[in-house]
Amino acid sequence: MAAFVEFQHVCKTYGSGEAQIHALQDVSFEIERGEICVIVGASGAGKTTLLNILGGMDRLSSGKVFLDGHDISACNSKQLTTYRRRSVGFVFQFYNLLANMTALENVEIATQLCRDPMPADEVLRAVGLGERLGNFPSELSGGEQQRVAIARALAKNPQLLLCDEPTGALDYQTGKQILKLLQDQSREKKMTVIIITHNSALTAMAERVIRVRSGRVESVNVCSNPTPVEQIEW
Amino acid sequence: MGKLTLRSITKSLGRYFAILLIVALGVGFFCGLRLTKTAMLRTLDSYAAKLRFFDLHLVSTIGLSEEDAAAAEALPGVEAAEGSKAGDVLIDTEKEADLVWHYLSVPSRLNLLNLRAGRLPERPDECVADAWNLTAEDLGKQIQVSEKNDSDTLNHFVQKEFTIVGLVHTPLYLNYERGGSTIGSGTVTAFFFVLPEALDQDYDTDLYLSLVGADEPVYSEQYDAAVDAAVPGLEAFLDERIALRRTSLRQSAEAELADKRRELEDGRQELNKAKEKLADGNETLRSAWGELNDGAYELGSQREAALEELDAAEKKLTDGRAELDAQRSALSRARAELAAAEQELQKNGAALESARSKLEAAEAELNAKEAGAQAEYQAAKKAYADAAAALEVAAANLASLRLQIPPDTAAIEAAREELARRQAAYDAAANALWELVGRQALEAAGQSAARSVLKQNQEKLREQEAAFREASGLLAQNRAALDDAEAQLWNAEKELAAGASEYQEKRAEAEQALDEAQRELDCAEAELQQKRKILCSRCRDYHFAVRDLEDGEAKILDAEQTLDELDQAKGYVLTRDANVGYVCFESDSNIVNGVSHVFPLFFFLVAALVCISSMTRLVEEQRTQIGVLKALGYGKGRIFSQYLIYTGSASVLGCAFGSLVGSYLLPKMIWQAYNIMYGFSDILWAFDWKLVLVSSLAFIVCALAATWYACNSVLSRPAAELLRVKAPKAGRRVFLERIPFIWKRLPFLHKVSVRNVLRDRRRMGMVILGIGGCTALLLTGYGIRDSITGVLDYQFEEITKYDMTVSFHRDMDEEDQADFLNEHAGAIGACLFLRQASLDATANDVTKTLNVISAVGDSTVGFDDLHDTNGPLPYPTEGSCLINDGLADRMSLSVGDSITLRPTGREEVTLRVSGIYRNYIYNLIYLSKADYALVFGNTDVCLAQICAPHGADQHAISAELSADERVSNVSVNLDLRARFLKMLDGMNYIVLVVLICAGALAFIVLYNLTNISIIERQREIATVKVLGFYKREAERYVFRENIMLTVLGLIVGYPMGYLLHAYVMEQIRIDMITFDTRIAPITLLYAAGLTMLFSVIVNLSMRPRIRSIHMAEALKSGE
Repeated sequence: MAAFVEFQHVCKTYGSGEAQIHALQDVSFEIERGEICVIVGASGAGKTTLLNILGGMDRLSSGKVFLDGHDISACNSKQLTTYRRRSVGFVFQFYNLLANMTALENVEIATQLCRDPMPADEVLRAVGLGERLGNFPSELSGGEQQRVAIARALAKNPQLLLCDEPTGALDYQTGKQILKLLQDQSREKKMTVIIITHNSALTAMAERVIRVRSGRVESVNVCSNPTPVEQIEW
Repeated sequence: MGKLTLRSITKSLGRYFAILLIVALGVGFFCGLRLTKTAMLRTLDSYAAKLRFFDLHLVSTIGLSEEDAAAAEALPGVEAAEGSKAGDVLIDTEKEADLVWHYLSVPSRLNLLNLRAGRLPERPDECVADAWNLTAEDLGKQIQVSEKNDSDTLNHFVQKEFTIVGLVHTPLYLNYERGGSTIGSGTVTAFFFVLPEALDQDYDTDLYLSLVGADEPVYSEQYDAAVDAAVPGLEAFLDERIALRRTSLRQSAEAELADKRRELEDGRQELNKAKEKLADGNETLRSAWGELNDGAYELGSQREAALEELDAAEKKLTDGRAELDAQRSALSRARAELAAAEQELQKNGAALESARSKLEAAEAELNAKEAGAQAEYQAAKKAYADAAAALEVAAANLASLRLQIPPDTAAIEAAREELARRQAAYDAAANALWELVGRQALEAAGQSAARSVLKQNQEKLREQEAAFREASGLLAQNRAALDDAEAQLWNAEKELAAGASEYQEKRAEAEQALDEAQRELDCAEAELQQKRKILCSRCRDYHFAVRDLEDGEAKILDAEQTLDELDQAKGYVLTRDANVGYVCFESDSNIVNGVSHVFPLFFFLVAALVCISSMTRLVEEQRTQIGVLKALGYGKGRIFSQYLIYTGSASVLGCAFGSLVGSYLLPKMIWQAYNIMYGFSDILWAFDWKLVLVSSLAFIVCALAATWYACNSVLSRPAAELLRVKAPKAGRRVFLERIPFIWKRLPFLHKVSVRNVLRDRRRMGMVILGIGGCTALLLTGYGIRDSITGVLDYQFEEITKYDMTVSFHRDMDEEDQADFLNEHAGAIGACLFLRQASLDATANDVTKTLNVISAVGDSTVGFDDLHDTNGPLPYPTEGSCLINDGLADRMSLSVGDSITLRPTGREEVTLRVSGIYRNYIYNLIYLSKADYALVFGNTDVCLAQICAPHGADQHAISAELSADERVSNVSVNLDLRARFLKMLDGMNYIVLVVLICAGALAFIVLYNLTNISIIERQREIATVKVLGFYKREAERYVFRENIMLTVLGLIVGYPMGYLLHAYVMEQIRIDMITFDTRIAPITLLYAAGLTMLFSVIVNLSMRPRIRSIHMAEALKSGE
């Protein structure tokens, strides 16, 4: 059986002529269903471009991307939107909650969009925010906000959870809690989680680690026995 | 730093231009509207200077002598003086008759003519006329001084016919208003100028002066002061001149008076003579009457006798005719008998004829029989003789033979046998002969008997024939007798006919004679009547003469009084403020000025708001940059200056652009609108540096203050804080959430939008103000039109119920009125006679020339529906009057107040206002009949309001009525309505200006705010896109808020619009028309629709902006 996520010789080039920048060059890798995958690399290594393409936010210049056997790279923008809407959950570094919505509403706005959502309040309770449903983001701490963001992503029951530096704006403890949450959710729901980070320490929690550098995949390590988050230190 | 500023400008060009444009719009409108007044005044000023508009206008109740001008010019302070002859005259044009025109002598020094077409008059029979009311088509046409003018006016004209050679404007009439008149319809239609030579008027009516040093701008205080300073001196001068004129007038008047007295005396003597003559005449007439009566009696008896005779003759004739008729019937009877006899005779004749022929036949038969018998006998005799001869032969033969020896026995035997046979034949013949003789004897006896019978018959026939002949003779005799009788009858008839015709002739003769006699008698009577009439008219003449004499006496008394009045003759020194056009022009320019207060305020506010929001955004965007600059050690002032330069430069440019375009365009547009009333010149371009500078400064300061306000909060923060990411704005619950009833029903995303809308109060305020302002302007613009067209509809549907107004060229008394109604019974459905005139009226220190009107029947029901909001108003009684709402408004009158009417040459009358009725077109004061009589001295009518019969062609009726010689003018309300509608078209310009303004306002505000909102929420929009919003969903997410804000703006805009509309309507008053300040329901829809349309257009234009937001934005750090 083919892998859940498959990149085949993906190239991404920005600009043209002399000023061409090759953000990704011939990137190929696979991720299995239900895995936690950490993509790690320094700033400018092409992590975000990778995420953009995987998340259906950006097109690639050449190559192919498959998700559960579907060729994403062949989709038009409307199909991509539908793909984002139904199949992918996003967790951003800066949470990107809508400031004028309560925690519950921030989750609800996502559940409005997909076919088979989980009840918003339940998800929030599951991420430990049962008491803060009615609070606005500004009334929540960073960790809590990120939990709302995760709840928003999870509520859609996505096939794939994409996390862009989920702990980047959080302190150590909170970051840990968030990662734990992600790990737990992945295990519970057999959900494929892709975490993009520059923090190599996080690789320990992953079942698969993809290292990128200068737009190329440097290495792909598979670890069948990841470390629980509680035991990771950085 | 400079580079940074430049870069922030080029990077946000849209925002920069938004500031620039809103400032330009504000400054443009403010300067434009403000300058409009200046420009209008300047236009008038230059017009007045060019045409040497008078400064002072001198008039007197007894006119001015022609030398007064020269005398005035000699006065110190007087620059120029010119006398003018003027007055009102009834004019017949080619189209209409008896129009009231104002004539003036062509000026040469002051109040010069502004020639618009054609040329100035060169000959006394040429004139130039009102360019306002006439068109180039009228050039070359003739106008005639109507014969219906009074003799004084007619005498003033040397020429009675003028050719229009040119069209002019005169500063004396700046607008359409031509004033009232005491003649004709009471309203001056147009003016015309003729050369002084065309007038035979030995005095001036007006004296116009221009003053030295009164060259300040029109309406300025300096000008008024300069003119006022000259007034006392001129009043003294005028009094002096009046005294002089009075003296000379008195001398001539006294001489005239003496003449009149002499005439009167003569008249009296003549009258006495006439009286005697009249008595004589009366006597003669009486005797003539006696004679006439005798004659009539005689004629009567003659007629009777003649008739009797004639009747007898007629009777005779009738008798004769009856007899004749009897005879004729006898005759015809006899003739019938004769005919019967003749017929019988003929029958007898025929019978005779047949009897004769029978007889003849019988005789012939008889004769034939006899002849037959004879022949038979002869034949038988001969046969016998033959037989005897034969026997003898045979016997001889036998004998011979016997004699013969030998005897031939055979031959003897044959001869014997022969003899025997002969014997037998002889015997047979003898027998036959005998038989025949016997038979013939028998027959002969029968025949003779028959012959005797025949003879008898012949005898009888002869007898009968004789009788027949006799009868025939008798018949012929009878016929001859009958013919004779008939001939006699014919003769008798002929005689009778002759008698009848003779009778007719005689009768005709007799009647003719009688008629002639009658005619003679009638003639005599008619003559007598005529004589009597003449006598009566003489009598009347006599009475008239007596009255004339009395009148003459009264006149002499009057003249004496006039002489006394001469002592009270008054002069007036009038300033330009007494000129209607001049005054109206000022008030109209003030209207523009009034409007100029409202609109700019609006833009001012909006400009400030746009600046605040733009700059807030700019500063937010450059938060980090500011932080860095601060951290680098730049002072707050320098950083500030960057933003101040940004807005400063935008507003300076905006001011420059706006003030130039606005100052040029707006006065032009508004002047265009006012051209319906003032068409005298093109507007001059006015530019007021001070105004531009002050308003620009105000806008710039406003913009800078807004910038400062927007930047200060950010700039005051320490650099470290600025370098940190700004915490997102806190979310807030809104009051609507406390109403679960509504909140729960809102779709999820709508809730978010509601919260977003209500969260950003500044934005909300600005949109509401901008959109509300747009709605308000739209309501105002359309409302102006509603108020105007509504006026016409209401006026002609609810108030004015009659179809046409008929003006008479002479006053109509009751008899004339009844005649008029009878003659046009078919054309007039209903008719109300009215009297109308203009006069000055004062109330609350406001004096205006007003039209007063009074209905003959003391009721106008069915014609002008006098009512106020509470229902119909009763017609005023003596001492009170009804005025219309517009007039009440303008003169600040309410029910119960008093108004003073000042009729020329009569005592003033003060009336109480008993009611205020609704009326929009024209201002009229309704008086009771009694008050009217008091004010004008008579109650004859000059107007009629006519209702056409239902379904009739109004113009046909109008034509019929126009043809009446009493009628001078018919104006059909349908036409009037159409004319007003056309005139008010000019208002559409103002509406258009307002609409453009509203659109600009809505676009600028919405565009700017949406732009800012999109920039501000880039990350949010990117996030929802990443979450999987389709393009349209993402757009709707943003635009839903715009629509909500627009609706909010509409809700706020409606009341704002009502207020603004009311204010603007208050400002744009026209004297002739009272506007009905109202906004039609459809206008509410229009305003809402257009506002929504503007909003949607802005949204659509913003779509690409939203589409271009890249989702990767969501991944970036919050700034």
